[in-house]
Amino acid sequence: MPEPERAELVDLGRTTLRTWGWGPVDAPLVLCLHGAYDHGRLFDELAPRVAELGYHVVAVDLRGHGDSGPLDTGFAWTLVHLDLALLIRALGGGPVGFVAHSFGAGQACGVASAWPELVRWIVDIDGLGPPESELGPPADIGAAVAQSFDRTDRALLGARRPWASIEEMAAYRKRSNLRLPLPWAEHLARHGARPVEGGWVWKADPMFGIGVPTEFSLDMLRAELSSVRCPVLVLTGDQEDTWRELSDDEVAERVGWLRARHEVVAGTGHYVHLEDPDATIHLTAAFLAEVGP
Amino acid sequence: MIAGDVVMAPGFVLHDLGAGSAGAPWRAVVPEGWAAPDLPGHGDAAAPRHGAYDPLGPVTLARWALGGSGVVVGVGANAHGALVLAAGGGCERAVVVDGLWGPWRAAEDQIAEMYAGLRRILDDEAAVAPPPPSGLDPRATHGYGLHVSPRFCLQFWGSVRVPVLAVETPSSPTPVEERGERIGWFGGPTELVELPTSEPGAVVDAVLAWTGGAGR
Repeated sequence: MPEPERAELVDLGRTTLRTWGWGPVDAPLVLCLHGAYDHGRLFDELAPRVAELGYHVVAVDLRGHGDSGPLDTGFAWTLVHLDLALLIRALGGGPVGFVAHSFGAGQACGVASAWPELVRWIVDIDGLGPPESELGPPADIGAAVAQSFDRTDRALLGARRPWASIEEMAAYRKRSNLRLPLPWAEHLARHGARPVEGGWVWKADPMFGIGVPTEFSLDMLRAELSSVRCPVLVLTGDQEDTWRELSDDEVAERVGWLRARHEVVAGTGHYVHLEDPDATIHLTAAFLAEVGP
Repeated sequence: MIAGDVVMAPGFVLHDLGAGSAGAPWRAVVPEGWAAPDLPGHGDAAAPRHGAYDPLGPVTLARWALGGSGVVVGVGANAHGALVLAAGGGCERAVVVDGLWGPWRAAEDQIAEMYAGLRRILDDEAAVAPPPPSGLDPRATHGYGLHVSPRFCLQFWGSVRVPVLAVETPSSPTPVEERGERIGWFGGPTELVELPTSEPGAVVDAVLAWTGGAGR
C-alpha cells in the first residue's frame, strides 16, 4: 500500500491533529474520518482512489487517536465536532465532503448539522449510531459509574501493559474484528501503535470512551440525524460482523432520518471499504457524479 | 489532574463551571479541613490539557480527595458531577446547589441548542484560542452541554442511595412548583432547602445544619 503523499500536524490552538494527505491541494477538499479506536491510515487504500476522482483528500487522526492530541475525558462527541470545524477552517474554510466510517460518520453528520455551510456531502460507511438497546443508562448505573472510576484511575495513573509485538496486536485486532482482512489488521496495528519500554502500546487514548452518565436516547439520535441537510450516501454490508448491530428495519429508519441514498455492498461487514474497495469507490463516484464536487 | 496534588478532605466543594471567582468564596466559608479548590481552567488552576470541559475532571478530583467518605457539594453545572460521585460510591453524602435542572426540553430542542452552542464556541475566538495560564478560561463559560430528561433523571437519581440535600437559591433554574417532585426521584433520603440568597456562607450553613457538623 502506498504511503500518503503528505503527513502534517495541524495546530488548532487547543489541540493538534495529525493529517494524511493525497491529491492536489487546490482541488475540492474531502476529509476521511475513521471510527472509534482506529486512525487515519484506515483510508490508505480508499483515499488515493478518491483523490483520483479530482479531490484533495485528507484523512484525519481524530482527537485521542493516532498521533493527534490527547483527551482528559471520553466525553468527546461534540469536542470532536469542534475540532473538525476548526480543521476545516485551518485547511481553507470548506465546504468539504466527508468519507467517514462508523463513529467518524456520526462525527460527519454532527459537523454537517452544526455548520451546514461547511459540508457539501457525506459518504457514511456503516455509521448510523448504536442500536436502541444500547442507548440510555445501563441497568445498574451505580456499578457502571464505579467501573468508570476504576477505568479513569487506570488510564490516568496506571502503567499500560506493553504488547510484545505488532504481530500480537494485529492478532488481537483480528480476534475482535473477525471479518477484518489480516493484512488490514496488521496495517492498523502497525500505524496504531507506538513503542514503549518493553514493547508497544496502542496510540488510542485510554480515556476515550470514559465519561459521566448523561441522556442519549433514540429521540435525540433521530433529532441529530434529521438535522443533516446535505446529500448523504449510506453504505452498509450484509454480513454478520462486530459493530454491525442494527437490524434492517433500524437501518432503513435511520437512512430515512438522513433522507439519504442507501446502498448495500454484498459480502461485506462493518468495514465495507476495506472488504470491497472497488464497490465502495464505484458507488462513491456515482454519488459524486450527481452531487459533487 | 495529578493525584499528588490531592489532599484528603472530609468535605469537597465543586464550584460552578465558569465561576469567575472560582473556589475563593467557598474557601472563605467552609469548615477547616474542607477543600474548595479552583477547578481546572478557573482561578489559579491551569486548564485541562485537552482544553475543554466536562464533569469527569472535577468528579475525579473530588473522588480522590474524599476517598469514599465525607460530603461533596456540587454547585450549578457541577451538581451533576456531585451526583455522579455519589452514584459511584465516592462519598457518603451529596449536596446539590441549584442542581435539579431547569424546565424539561424536547429532544429536538436539546439537539438544536447543542448545535447552537457549538456555533457560539467556534465564533468565540478566545474560547478556541490556547487557554490562559491562569484565571478564567473563556471556554469554561460555554457550559458542559449535558443532556437530561425526566426519564434519565428518574433512573440516574434513583441510583443515588446516599443522603442528598438539594439547596435551591434565587439562581436556580428549576421551576419552584417542580422541586418537591424532583427530589422524590432520588434513591435515598433527601431534603430540600430553599434559601433567599445564593451566598456561599448561607449555603454552607445549610449544609452543616443538615450534616450536624460544627458551625463555621
